[in-house]
Amino acid sequence: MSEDESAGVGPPGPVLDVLADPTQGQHRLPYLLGVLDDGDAADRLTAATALCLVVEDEPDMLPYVVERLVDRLDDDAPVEVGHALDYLAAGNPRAVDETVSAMTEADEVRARRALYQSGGGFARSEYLQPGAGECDVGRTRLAGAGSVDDPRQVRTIDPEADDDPLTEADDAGGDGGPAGDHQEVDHPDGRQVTRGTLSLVADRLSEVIERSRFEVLDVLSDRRRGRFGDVYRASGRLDDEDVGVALVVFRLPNGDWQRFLGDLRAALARWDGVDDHDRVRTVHDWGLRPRPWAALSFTDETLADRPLAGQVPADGDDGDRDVSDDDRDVSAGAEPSGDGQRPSLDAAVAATLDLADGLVHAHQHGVVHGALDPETVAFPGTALTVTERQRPFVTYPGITTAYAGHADVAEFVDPRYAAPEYFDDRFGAVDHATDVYGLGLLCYRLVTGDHPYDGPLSAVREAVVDDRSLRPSAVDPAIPAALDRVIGKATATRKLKRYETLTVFRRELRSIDGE
Amino acid sequence: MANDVEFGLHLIEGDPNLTFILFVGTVLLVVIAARFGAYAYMNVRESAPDQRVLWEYLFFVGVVTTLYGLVSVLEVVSSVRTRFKGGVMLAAVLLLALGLREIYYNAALSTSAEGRTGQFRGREGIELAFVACVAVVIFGTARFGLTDALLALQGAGALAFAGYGFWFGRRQTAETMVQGTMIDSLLRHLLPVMAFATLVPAVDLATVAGLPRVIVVHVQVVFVIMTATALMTATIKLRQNLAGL
Repeated sequence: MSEDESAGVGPPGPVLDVLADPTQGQHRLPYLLGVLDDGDAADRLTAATALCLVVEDEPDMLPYVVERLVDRLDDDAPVEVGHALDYLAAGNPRAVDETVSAMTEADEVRARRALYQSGGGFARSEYLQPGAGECDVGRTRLAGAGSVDDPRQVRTIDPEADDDPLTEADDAGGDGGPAGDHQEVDHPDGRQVTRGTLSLVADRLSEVIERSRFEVLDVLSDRRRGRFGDVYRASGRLDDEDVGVALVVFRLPNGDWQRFLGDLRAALARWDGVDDHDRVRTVHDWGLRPRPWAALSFTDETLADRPLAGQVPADGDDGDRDVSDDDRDVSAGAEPSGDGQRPSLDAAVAATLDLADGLVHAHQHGVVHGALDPETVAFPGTALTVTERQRPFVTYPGITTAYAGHADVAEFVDPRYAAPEYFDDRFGAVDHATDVYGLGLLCYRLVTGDHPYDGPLSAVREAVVDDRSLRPSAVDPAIPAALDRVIGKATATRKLKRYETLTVFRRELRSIDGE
Repeated sequence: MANDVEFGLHLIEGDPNLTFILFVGTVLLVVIAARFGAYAYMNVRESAPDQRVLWEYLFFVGVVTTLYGLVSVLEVVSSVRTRFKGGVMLAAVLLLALGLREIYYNAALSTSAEGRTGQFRGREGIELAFVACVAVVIFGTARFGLTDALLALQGAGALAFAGYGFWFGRRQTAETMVQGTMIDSLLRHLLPVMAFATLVPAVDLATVAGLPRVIVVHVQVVFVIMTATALMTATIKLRQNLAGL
């Protein structure tokens, strides 16, 4: 059958030929790409599948195909282009990353944005989890998904030490080439990262590093997907002092990203303006070029990394799961594993008071966090405080507001901790009262060691907007009734019934702490 | 009739000082009460239907208080004499009391009867009696003038309305689940408004007791100004709530 004869009666013949025998597909690549431009939906889907099969058969063709796909990523790009790109990235994340990194800035931004779009709705919050075995592509962790025996810790960086993975990568002559790629480095976070990868990461971030005010900034890890973008561990020298750094490269939402950059600039400036409080995570430096980035003080874990109360570690079960619609379930059986230890009541209340201190400071400077949940509560790290209580930091204050006008805000807050105003306009706008609500739920989480709501998203939404009072004593009868009242008031559905200010909330919480 | 109205300065009780202070105080009240009513109205518009009832009460408080102020100003700048204006302020006090009752009964700010707790027998009867009292005072004074009986009814009614509102307000502010909340703050701002507004018609009891009218009006002006200032701070809470909607 000729190509003309096949038109209109199913996928074109050459496409079927490639599907039948991908080994012969290299010569058909221009034709397959042409079908993506001109074919109907069925033809495009078939052609996209054929493209993926050709690349699987001949990996050397991946850069060519990825570049051609990215060329087609404009505003009205067929969805099949994104699907094909997503498929290739899932199968060959590093190769796709290298190809994308080598593109022009505009193409790279377009490609990364398309790759980020593989989730949806709440998909990128810790409400969902990544696919097994791939922490860099796909979805992020569920609250509490971290393992308790995660050996990550803040390291003192010794410039003379030769176990610095980045240095080793350079010493090995690794320029990102194949030789370096096959030498693995035992990374402090327990993963094995190739020297080539670190070299590539350093190359990728070189412009950021050059623009920063750090005297020295060494990247120590490959990226991890964070809530607002990719996060790299790094060590830096700032004002003659070594500091642990979490380098965040923010992702760009769809639409007018120049306007987004303006909003993010304002949000980062506000955060930078309130980070002088010891309970607000420090922003060492930040910038918008070549991509928006921020160098934050390093923290070892978040509240989301901590296991829920009463959970028993399950062999081989890291709690991963993948759900993406209203029926997704976050019931106990799907929760991440942990040792079930939760802080004492005093420690939990004290941690809440610490967070309240940071938030009050932010509010006094006109900064509303807007999206408090366990992912935004950071702990410094076990290595630094072996004997003393871990004091939490408020992190990412106000950053959600930068994304608010450009992306679904629901992507940036765990729905189990989202205030009613996130679900329904009739509860008003996100403002300081939203932080009161968020802190109330964090207090509940700290005190009970459990999430305030659970189950399918639809059930969570229904429970959040319902007029009800959260009572931690229902989980643990030892919790005093006074704390029930405080949390109940802070988490009232109607703003009118919540604490008017965090200062009042903190005062009543302190009165319990003193009892 | 309209041709009989003369515009120009008309002294109140023949006292220039009293007239000046009354004019300043009532203009202040008009402006602030209108602003209060406007913010209450914006809250009504921005709120979900099941949350509007409180703001509707406060909106009418603003409207009626503004009306009282306008009538008082009119008495200064024209020959019009409105003997029923005490009844207008009485209506404002009743609306405030009902607003406080609404906050108490309906912490969820829902108008649904099943959402209410702590209802007592005869509540509707009492409130109907209050409304009847306001009607009798307004129409009675308009028809028969400031008779001792009507002034006594006006004063006693104001105190009764205030007592009704304070009873609910005190119970609400004593609730630990309310203390420190936005609704608690709003309530605490409305209580002084009601206190000062109550004293405006209640002072007329002194007239019944034989105090000269000019002294009574002097005292009333003080409470009018106090009502205006209390309304001003209460308006701040309405603005705050509006900002969060």
